[in-house]
Amino acid sequence: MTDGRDSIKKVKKFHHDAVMKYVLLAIASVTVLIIFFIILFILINGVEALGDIGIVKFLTGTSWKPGEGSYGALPLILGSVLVTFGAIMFALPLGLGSAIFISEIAPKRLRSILKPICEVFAGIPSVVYGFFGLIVLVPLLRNIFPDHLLFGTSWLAGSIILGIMALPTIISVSEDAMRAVPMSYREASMAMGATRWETTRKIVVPAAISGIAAATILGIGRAIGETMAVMMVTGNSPIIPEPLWNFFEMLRTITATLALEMPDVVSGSTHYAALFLLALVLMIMVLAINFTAKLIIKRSRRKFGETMSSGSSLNRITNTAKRRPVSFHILMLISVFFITLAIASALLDLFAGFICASFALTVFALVSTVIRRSGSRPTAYMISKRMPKILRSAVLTALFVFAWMVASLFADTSTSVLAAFIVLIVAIVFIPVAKRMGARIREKVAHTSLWLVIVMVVAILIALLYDIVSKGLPALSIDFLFGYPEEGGLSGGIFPAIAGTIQLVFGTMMIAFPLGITSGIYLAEYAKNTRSTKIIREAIDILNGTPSVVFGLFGMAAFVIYLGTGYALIAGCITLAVMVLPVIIRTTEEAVLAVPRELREASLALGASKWETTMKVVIPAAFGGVVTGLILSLGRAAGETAPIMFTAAVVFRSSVSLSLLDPIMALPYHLYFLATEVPGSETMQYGTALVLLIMVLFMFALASVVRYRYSKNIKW
Amino acid sequence: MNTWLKIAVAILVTAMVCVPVTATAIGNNAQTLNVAGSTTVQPLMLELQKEFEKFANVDMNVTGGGSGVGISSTLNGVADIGMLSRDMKYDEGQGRLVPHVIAMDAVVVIVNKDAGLGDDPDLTMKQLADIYSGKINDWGEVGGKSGQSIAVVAREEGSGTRDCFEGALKKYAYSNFEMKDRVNSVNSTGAILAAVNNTPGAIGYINFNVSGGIQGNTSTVSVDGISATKESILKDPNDPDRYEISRDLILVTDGTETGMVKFFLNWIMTGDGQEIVEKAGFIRIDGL
Repeated sequence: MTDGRDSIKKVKKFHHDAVMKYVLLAIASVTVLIIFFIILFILINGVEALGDIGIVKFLTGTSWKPGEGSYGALPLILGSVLVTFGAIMFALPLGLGSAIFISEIAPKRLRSILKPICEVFAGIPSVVYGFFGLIVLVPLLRNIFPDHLLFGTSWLAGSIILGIMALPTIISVSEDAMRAVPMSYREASMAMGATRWETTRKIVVPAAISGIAAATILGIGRAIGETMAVMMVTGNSPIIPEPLWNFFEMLRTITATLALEMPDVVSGSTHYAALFLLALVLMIMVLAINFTAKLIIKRSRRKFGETMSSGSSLNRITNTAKRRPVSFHILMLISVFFITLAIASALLDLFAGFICASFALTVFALVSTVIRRSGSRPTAYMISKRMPKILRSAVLTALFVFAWMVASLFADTSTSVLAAFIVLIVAIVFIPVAKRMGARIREKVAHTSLWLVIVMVVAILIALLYDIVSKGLPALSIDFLFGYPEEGGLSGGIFPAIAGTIQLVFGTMMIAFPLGITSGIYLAEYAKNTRSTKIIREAIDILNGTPSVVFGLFGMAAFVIYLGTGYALIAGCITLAVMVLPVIIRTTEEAVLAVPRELREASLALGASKWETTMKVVIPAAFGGVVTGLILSLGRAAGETAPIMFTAAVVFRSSVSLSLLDPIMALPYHLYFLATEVPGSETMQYGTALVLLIMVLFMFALASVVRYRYSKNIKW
Repeated sequence: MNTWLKIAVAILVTAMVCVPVTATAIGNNAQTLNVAGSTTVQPLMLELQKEFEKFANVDMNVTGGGSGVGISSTLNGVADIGMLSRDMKYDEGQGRLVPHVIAMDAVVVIVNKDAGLGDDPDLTMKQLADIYSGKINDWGEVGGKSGQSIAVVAREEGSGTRDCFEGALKKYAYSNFEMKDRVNSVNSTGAILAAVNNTPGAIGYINFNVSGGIQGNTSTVSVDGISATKESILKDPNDPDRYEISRDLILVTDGTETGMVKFFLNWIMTGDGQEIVEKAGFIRIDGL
């Protein structure tokens, strides 16, 4: 080969390189355009309602009666907040306890079982949780509290189900945070003679507190955007509970309102715009929550980066333990707000309660900031010295109020105050007793309770799985899997639903994979770190946090009504594809970025072009990570209900059509339909739930096999 | 590795081809009759479609979505015919939509047997209004089991069934009737059936066409001594024995109907069409 030919080839190769760069850029821009289009679409449609209703009236009105022209969204916003609050009250102790157990106590082998169990929790579709809640939890609650719950569907039921759903997020993120605490911290603590429990409580948890807070906030974010499970078990009355903490009341969340009312509204009407405005409010709430979590995670990463490199790690850790971190501060602020709100709204009315609560919040924030800022000044020193005492009395007061709130739901005022006092006295007596116990005994008590927590969490999952498998298996038969529904779903099979779900997943794949993968590769390999790239990343994050019901809303407005596809497979596929796009982009980007730079440099040094390097070196190395992300996103698409219930899914199809313009049946929607609309179809419900569960969990299992194989094969 | 790469490229190319093809397919359905709207009317429309496609050479597309979708899609030209289970409110039709009544439907009240109202439960219009406005909360006050709380189930805001029920209470009980907030809202007739069946002391309302098959723990309620039957619903508006909680099922078209749409609407009003209306559980309005 002569030199001339070689250089011509080289020129061609690099010409090729430039072309490919622009092809990637073009595809990535399409993706970005889609993302911005959706955000704009919701924004524009929602803002339209502001003129008709008025922002103040919308946010503070207490009556949601679109039929009579009153659009007060406060009950719905409060509904979302309250149900999520309850979920966290339920999930935080369980989740944190399990995380501590898995990270600090569990033997290695037990941990390797518990972690995948946790992932199974996360993989179960929302509608299956809702189904379990409706068929097991709701009747159970009705039997336990017959005087308080007429239906069983209630705030309480919603919070329990949502809490279970938030558990995997809380467990896995906070467990990661605790595992990230360097081993040397624990060793140092143990060397000083501390017990394992003391090490956990005073070293590991404080050091990981930012991560734990982030986990909680992410759990909140997941819970507040949840639609199907909540809609099925909360009863959906658009009211503000009375009193505000009455968790036996039915309530309605923003998400449930969107899902319930969207099909009845006329596009362009005030009601229609009001629903978009609700979606916007929901998006802003989720956005704020996720942003806080991101901020905290960023901080904690920086902290560990420093501590691990700098020599004064022990110094730092004592600092972290002593100085209450910002996240703790925020939690205190939130609890001050809610406790004042609860008391004031009970004594006065809700509006006055809000004013009092905001006032208390401001005062508390000011005082605590002064204390934090004033550093070494004598007064501040005095206060900070007394801080443990102040803190303890604050905790006791909170305990008293909480006990009274719960008791007041069951008994009259005087009895409930008495009950609260008893709780208070028990607590006051208990604290010194606990203090006087030896460190060993305290460790025993703590570890036993953690064992109990993990047993409880696993028991919940096993109960759920056992219930569905044991009652679903008898339903499975050839006729069930390959037959058509008969008698309105009471008998027959679910073949069109299975086929429809496969069609949906396949279509979603066709649209989302090429766009998502190329955009991910572009972002990781080609995009420069400019402001526009940053904006693109932000937009992807926004879309990633958007609740699935909002995608359903978008899909219905854009495809079903505006483009006029009607309920159609294609509308469902595009909606689902848009929903999973950010996940695919993110996981692809992360997998590609995880490939060491040296590999690229070696390839480039050997004369390969950038495109060749990307295709032949980087992508094969990142293949496992990319494929894992893809399968996980499909698993999510298969289980989702909210995005397809207004775009593609119908109750009955008499044949399986391959046309993109025909509506389809889908497993999650069919389960929802059977569970809420066809009394007496329990066997069919369990069968459908089992098939859906098997399909989704199969994909998750596949993903972990792929991840495992590739992480084993590739070592650098 | 190379095979994987090829597969990936193949998928990419397929998708690239698929999207434009789909896009053209969306814009290319001229020979069909598109019907969209109320899920209450949808089962009837599917039956009509089966017969009409045999009768005339058309390709019909029936999609549900709700009455709102029916109005929206007819207004923006996506559907030729919109299905409504309620009247058009305010200026929803923008003065363009023309309603065509094709059948009648009624709303039937059902109660859980634990209410203690006996085998042939009966409530007056006023009692119903008091129950739904929250004035009466115990079955003992209306002749049922004392101490049994009334668990109220209702359809969601905007539903045609709810409109019809509320309208009747406003008209025949209290003109200022307002449904209380503390009701269990669900978004389908089936869900009401399920909730009433499973909840002791529950009351709810459902469509006439499914009230025939009521069984289990639920029974239908007659109102002011009149139970919902084909005859009692069709009685003259001035007749005291008329069942009052009824409504029209409406198809809307954008402007005066023409061509195939007109043919279809006329066909529904013939004996053949009305026969199907009756089979689907609704009330035929051709006097037979």
